[in-house]
Amino acid sequence: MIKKAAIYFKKLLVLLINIYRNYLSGYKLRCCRYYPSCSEYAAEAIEKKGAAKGLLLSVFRIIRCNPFSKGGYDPVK
Amino acid sequence: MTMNTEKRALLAIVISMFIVMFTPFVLTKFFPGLKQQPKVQQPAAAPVTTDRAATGAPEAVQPAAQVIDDKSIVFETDEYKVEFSGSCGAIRRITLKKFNDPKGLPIVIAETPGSVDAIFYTSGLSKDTDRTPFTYTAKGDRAVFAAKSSDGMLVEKEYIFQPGRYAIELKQTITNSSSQSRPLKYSIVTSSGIPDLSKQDEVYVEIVRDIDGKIVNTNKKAIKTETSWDGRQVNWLSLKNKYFSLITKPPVFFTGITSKKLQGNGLQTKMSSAEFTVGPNASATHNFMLYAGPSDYDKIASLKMGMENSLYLGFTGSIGKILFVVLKFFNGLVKNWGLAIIALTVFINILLFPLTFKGIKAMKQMQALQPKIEALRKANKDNPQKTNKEVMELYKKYKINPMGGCLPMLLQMPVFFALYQVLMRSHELRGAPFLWIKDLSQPDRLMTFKGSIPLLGSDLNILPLLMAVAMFFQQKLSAPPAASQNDQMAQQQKMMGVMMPVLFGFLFYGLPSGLVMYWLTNTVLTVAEQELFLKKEMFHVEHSE
Repeated sequence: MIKKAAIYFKKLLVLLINIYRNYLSGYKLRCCRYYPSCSEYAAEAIEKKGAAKGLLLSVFRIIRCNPFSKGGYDPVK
Repeated sequence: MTMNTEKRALLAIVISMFIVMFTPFVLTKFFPGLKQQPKVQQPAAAPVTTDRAATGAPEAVQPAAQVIDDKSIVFETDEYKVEFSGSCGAIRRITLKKFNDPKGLPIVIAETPGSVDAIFYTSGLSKDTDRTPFTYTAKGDRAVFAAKSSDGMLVEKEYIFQPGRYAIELKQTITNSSSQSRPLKYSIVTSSGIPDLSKQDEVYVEIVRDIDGKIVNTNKKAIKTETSWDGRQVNWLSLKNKYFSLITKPPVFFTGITSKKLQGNGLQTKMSSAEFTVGPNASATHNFMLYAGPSDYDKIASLKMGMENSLYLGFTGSIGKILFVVLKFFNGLVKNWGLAIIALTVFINILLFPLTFKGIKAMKQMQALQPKIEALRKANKDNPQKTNKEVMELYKKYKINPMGGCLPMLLQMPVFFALYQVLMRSHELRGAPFLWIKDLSQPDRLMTFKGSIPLLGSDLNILPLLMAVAMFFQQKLSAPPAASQNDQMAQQQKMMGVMMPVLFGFLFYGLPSGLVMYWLTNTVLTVAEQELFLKKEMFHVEHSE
């Protein structure tokens, strides 16, 4: 039961990120210093590592994505 | 990751429906002003009755046998008109003379159904004093009401009007003329019946209070019948709607607040005192200050009572405060709120420009890399993903990166929310004209139709349409060229590029024109930045899948 709910929550998060990626991100200038971009990374991280760990990874990634970081290729490990 | 055509189409439909269905919900949740409801005119002001008996409202407090000629007593300054209920010595109606409602009548900022609900009505001193009618004596430019009960309690209320300010002062003196010391406590109405302004602005009606230095707000919706809050000291209490505030500063030892719904859906707030003792033949004087006027930071702050802290709440509030100071500065320069909004938008964009792009310098460095990027592109013609990865590696190697990063972008969000709030709530924008716009706090209404058009209503608003067009171009310009994708994806992109602007056009249609103008200016500036300073290649990264 709880496992099922967790899966749905995961799916919902990924869906929301995809909505942002497909419908909204085109209305702002591209800003991400990494490949894959923060939103792609977040969707992948949540998919692969689960909601809790994935979200945490995404937060750290967004914090890393600032003018003082090097940027570059940075996939979900 | 590959999906067949049908699945893709289905997903597109589901997501579109999801957005169409849930965006309004999300927006109303986070931006209460967005509710797209039919315009409901605020109820016309009740005819002014100078005789209490004429309204026929039975007053529980006044014994039926007692004949009270409750003449309404009126005091006026240049700013406001105050109408008292003579028998209660309390304020039944406050009208602001310098602010008009949509019909052109002066705004009634407080109005109560009965005298016992009137502002500064005192109750609880003793059963007897509550029932004793007050007598009125004029004392120069002040109003004095006094009542003496059979058990020797004398209550005197002296109202002082402050010309040039939206302030009314009350000096309440309680005298114990009996021969024994008395423990007393009472409650006093501090605000009553602020109008909603319009049905869709009802969500802005809230109670804000400072108890023991902690500022908390409660929305009107949260108050079902009666709600109370207690503490050691109430510093001030505000009842406000979208543009106006009724704020009361009590004397020390007021510890409780009660709010209830009045008949006719208005709200009332009361404050209650802690117990205090008045000795035989002694008296106690309590000073109250009521601010009744526009939610204007400077005007409230000029009273020097800290009541201005009721205006900008929370983190975005403090950003909003700064934004409004800047907006006001620009308005001082260009003498028009519409131009000031444009100036502020340009100003914010200029401020953020170096942050987002780390200056033009990085762009020039980029150009040196351009041949290498082109070479990569050619080498991986069929695999844009690989190109992206390698371009990013290239940036890393040469330690240049044209992007500002997602964190700065995310940090901007609170600024936009704050600006939204400022433009939505600033009373200065009420009735402020710009070009064809008559009122920046309302939709621009270039034309009003005789009938009503489905979805759009009876007004033709140009700004939201212009905004949708600008958004369409923005998406179009930043989208990758169709050649780099398959037909299916290009088609999908094209559809999205049309759908989102249309959806945003609808969402923004009924919003204040000042706000829409901000979004329009912002979109146009983003497009311009994109065209002037950025190489189109940069955008390929995000959109190629």
